[in-house]
Amino acid sequence: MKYDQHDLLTKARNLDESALGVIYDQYSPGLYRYACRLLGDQCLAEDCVSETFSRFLQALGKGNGPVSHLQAYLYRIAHNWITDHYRNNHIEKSLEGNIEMKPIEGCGEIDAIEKLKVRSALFQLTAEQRQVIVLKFLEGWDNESVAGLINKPVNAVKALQHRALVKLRKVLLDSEEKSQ
Amino acid sequence: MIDNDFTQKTQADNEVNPTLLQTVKKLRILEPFAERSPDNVERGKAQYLKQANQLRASVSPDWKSRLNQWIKFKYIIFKGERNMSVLAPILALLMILFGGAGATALAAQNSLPDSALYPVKLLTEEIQNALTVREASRFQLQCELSNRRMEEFIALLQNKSIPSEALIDQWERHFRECTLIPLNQADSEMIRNLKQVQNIIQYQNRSMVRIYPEANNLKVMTMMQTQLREYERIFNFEGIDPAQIREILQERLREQSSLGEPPQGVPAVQEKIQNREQSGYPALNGTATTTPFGPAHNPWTTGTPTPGSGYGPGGTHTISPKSTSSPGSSNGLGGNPTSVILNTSVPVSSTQAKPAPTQPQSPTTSGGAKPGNPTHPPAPTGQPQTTAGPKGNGK
Repeated sequence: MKYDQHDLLTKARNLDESALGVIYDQYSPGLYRYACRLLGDQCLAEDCVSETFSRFLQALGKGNGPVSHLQAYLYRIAHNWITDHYRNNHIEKSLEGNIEMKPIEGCGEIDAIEKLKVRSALFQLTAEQRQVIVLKFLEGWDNESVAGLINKPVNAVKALQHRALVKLRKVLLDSEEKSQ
Repeated sequence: MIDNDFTQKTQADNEVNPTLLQTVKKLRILEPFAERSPDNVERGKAQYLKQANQLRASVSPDWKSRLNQWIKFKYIIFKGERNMSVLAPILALLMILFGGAGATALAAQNSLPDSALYPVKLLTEEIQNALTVREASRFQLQCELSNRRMEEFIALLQNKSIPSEALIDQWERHFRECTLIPLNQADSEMIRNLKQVQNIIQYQNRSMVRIYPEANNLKVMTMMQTQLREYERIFNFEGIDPAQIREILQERLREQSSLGEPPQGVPAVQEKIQNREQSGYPALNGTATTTPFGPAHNPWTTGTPTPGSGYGPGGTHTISPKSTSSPGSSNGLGGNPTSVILNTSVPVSSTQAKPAPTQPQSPTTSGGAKPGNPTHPPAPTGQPQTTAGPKGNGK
């Protein structure tokens, strides 16, 4: 069954099971991918997806929830969950000494360390900068979609992207210097 | 310059400042990710839909639906029918006025004298009394009110509070009405009602006995028991011809009223008077108002309460062993001289209790003389004296 965005949201507000199922099928893969890339852990990514949809349902139950831009709404929830998780678990510590994150299957140990470094550098950006960078260069979103997610004009997105890349480069260089 | 360069090179998503391209490449190391297991997908979706179903079952209509339902309801009640729009405010006003008063009166019916609602209860009783015209109904009402006062008296004692003088006075008043109404009735009805009075006396006596033992030491208990014993004596018709009951009863009541005979078993007030004379104080003139039917109705509550006597007007007092005992007081509740005499534990026979001959024109002495204050001489013999004077605490 195909729905346009408006119908989907209207039915979702009434907790229509088929519409909710469509939403899950449509957005859960992207959310999982997004979480997996940022967290580097499949279990945590599953938790993130589950929690994102749970919060979405709770919002619908209270009569809140998105009026439009459902995708942006779900990614915002996921992004907040990941940020909270990262803050609470101090991933930086594991980068310095105790590397306990489970490497993704098929990746070598060196790859895993490199990914950990990049991820750690990403979490040194501001929340908006990180969102812009990940969505644009990893998820392949266009500027307009990202602008819709962060509620800013496209030019602001571009500026954020530039500053984010500059800062990321600096952080990665510093990290390499330290490791040498 | 940097801004111009940045603007030109970010027109397309993949157009990035060449100095930053290396960073983008490093970032893309995160692109590969572990594919999600289909089982996990199914499990996650099932859990999500289950939560949705639970939410659907528990959720009430959203606020807009509820608001719409209320607006429809309000329209039907207040606007839908033309007459209702006029009637609704009137009904609301009536409900506020009479519904509230009725609820208060109803709530007051179980109140005790130490409750804020008690005056409401008394008011409703007064109204009921005023609206009761038939003599038979008035008799029943007064019997009921007398029993009610007794129940309040007992409840207060059980709550470790001392009943006020006002309460005893009210009980006395209702009981007096109970006894007087039958005298104006036909013989058969009178006999029947007098038997009911006897039953009431027995019932109230039994109720008094059931009070916890500590209360037996209280003056108020002694007072009430004494009163009841006196009524028991007055309404004892054993061996009396039914045809003469009315006359005998009237005579007994008249004796009580005019001669001021103290109740049986109560130490004579004369005993106090003799004690006074022996102690060098001026002799009291007149007769003590110890009869249930004296001008003040209640000999134990006559006049203004003595300061510190423990019997404030209308109030109740918690029994406390730390209560200050005033001079002459035997139990720490205050020194009402009459009460002190009443509280003696030595039984006095009726012959001992016979008062000395008194002058009929001086109906009362309570308050006329101030035993505790020799500078205030008693009122001259033969002069009527008010019962509202202050009482001395000491002897």
